[in-house]
Amino acid sequence: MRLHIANGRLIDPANGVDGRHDIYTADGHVVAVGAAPDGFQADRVLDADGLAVLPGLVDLSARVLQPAGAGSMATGSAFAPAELRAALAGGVTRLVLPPDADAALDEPGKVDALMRQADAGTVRVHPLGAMTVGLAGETLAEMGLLSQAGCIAFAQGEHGIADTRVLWGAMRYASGMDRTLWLRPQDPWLARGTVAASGAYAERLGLEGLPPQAETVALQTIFELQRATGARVHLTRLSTAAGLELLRAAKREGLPVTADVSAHNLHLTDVDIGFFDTNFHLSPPLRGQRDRDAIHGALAEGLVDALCSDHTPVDSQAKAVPFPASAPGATALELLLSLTLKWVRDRRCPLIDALARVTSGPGAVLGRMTPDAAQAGQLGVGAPADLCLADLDAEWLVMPAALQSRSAHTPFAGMMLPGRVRATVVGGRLAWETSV
Amino acid sequence: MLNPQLDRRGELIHLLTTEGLPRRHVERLLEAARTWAAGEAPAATPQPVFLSLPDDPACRDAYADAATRLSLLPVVLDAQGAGAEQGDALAQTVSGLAPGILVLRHAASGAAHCAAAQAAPGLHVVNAGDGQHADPLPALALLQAMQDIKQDLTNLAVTLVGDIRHSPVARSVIHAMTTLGVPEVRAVAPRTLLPDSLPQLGVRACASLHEGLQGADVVIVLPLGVERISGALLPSAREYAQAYGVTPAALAAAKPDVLLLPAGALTPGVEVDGDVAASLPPIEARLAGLLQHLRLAALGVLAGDAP
Repeated sequence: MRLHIANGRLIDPANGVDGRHDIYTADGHVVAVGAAPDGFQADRVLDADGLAVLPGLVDLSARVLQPAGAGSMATGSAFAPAELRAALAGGVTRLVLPPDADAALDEPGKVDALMRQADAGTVRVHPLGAMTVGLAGETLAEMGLLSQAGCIAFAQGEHGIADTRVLWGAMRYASGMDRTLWLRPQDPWLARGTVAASGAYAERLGLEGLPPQAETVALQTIFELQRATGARVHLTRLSTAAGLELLRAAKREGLPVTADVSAHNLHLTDVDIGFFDTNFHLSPPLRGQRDRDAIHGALAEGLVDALCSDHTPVDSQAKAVPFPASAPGATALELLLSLTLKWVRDRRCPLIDALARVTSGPGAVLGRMTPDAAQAGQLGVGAPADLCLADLDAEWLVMPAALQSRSAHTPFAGMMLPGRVRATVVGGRLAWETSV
Repeated sequence: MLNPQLDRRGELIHLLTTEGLPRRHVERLLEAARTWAAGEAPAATPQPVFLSLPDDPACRDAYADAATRLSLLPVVLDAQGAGAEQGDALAQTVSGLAPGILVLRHAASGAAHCAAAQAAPGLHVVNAGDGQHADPLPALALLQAMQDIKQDLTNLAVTLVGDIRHSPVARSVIHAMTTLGVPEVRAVAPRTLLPDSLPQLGVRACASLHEGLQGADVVIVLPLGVERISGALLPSAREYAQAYGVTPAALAAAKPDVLLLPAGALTPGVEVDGDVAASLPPIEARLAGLLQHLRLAALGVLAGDAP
């Protein structure tokens, strides 16, 4: 299919482009920007007048599987169509699937079975393999075979790894195979039983607080082991000012490390929990103003490579319970672009830099891990034709029931947000389109 | 952000916490308790009072008595109901309840707010303790005892001794004292049992029991849960008693007419020594009486027939 996207404002942070340029795609790739190639006959012309043409967003953390127990157990993990639609509706064309505690990808067969369900023309999914069998933190999973099956990196899930010796082994092993570990820096002992960030607000509500040291202790361990092993690490969802300072020192030192933060932690703080509002029960927990400011600063200066949605569908039953018993997480794929634009508006960030954190920034992180993601998050000639058309000036009211995701829980419910995706193209095929 | 225990006109619809509870509501509850302590309680419009107080038959009976005195209809919810560990059951049970009053105790902080959010209009929630968060009525009983005995709250130095971090009563009494203008609140406990945010609560942490008790008008002694004496919080009850146990010698640093208030059942030899423990029964009985009248007042106010 050949597409001609005409009259749009092309914003391509990787190539420093922000201007009125047409784009031409053929065979799943961008074939020209600006003038049409000789003899180009478009199968379809998309008129993007008044819209921005962006590289498809790259989300480094989005859970898009069916909940465990849904469907047949024999088939293992399955994609949830509603969550894939949510991605496309949000302009996300490529996402990273973190390991699911109930169905960790710790067997090449499981990865094969999952990847076979991936359709061409829908969002591209890069699964993370389990670092240890069953995420139990005891036995290394078959990283080599899992890589061949399609896992781009190896993660230990939300709970971190208690046994430092296993982490050390995983780093040495991964480093020897030139694989990346994808780690959520959180000390499991300090995190035990906690449901909110430690601080005045959690104390007020009588909630067990997660101290910032849970993050910094884990980071110190990871960096120290990186120095010893040379392992490449991606740190997912940093949430503390102190943690970001450690990241700064590590990057300055030249450790092979990249990082992302969640859009929730960029915008919200612990006091937003209000009177035990479970929509604000998130992981990592919402922290204080200082941490939020540090996240903003680190993202703006590029210390942090990417902004992720941390999309976690949670059903209503799991939220209609007392705060400590509720499941953490929020639906966010459809909000990622809007939350990026809200950041631009609230903090007066340059638009092109902000968009880089959801396109070329995470694209580059993935590009280091797999050739499949080369040129991800950019729209130069030869790049995959993954893009979205967005009305950057549109304001919309977040009504959970109107979202594509099966989960109706987001802390941004009832809020007006800027920016709406009108169409999403994956591999040169129009995968999502809304009437204006 | 709307305070979930008040309606749009600022009237009390649930009693969830003393935090953010306007002064006039605190005073109204204290006043109603005093009035009804003196005479017969008026009959309220008949409506059910659902009691979900697992593992505490004495408290359940006390609420049932209070409800009966108001001509309300006590209904005991069984243990698998709202009080069960499973949160799902709480939401389900509450949303199925008829208009009336729900008295709820639950192990999870925020359970009463959750119940209030799930409640149909006309169902009022009384928080009888949610995890470590709040337990307003015993806190108001402490406050009322202070007011009755010391008359003026606005010139008192009050010291809390013990596990403030895990105590819903401590949180509630701190907020209530702040609302009614107690000028000085101190806290004494091992660092592991103190919240990190005492200054934000308007409380000054003291380094030793002696410093905490120095010149105090009121000393509130919090019970120490056995589950705290393990793991990373406390080495032993013996060591706790040695450093933080309230003894006559320690109390000598306080004002001569110091008022000692137990915020729950204390173990002689742990939170207080044997001599101090022996002096407690009269004030314990007084607090129990105040608490019962406050239960009556809370049910009466929420049933809409308070003076």
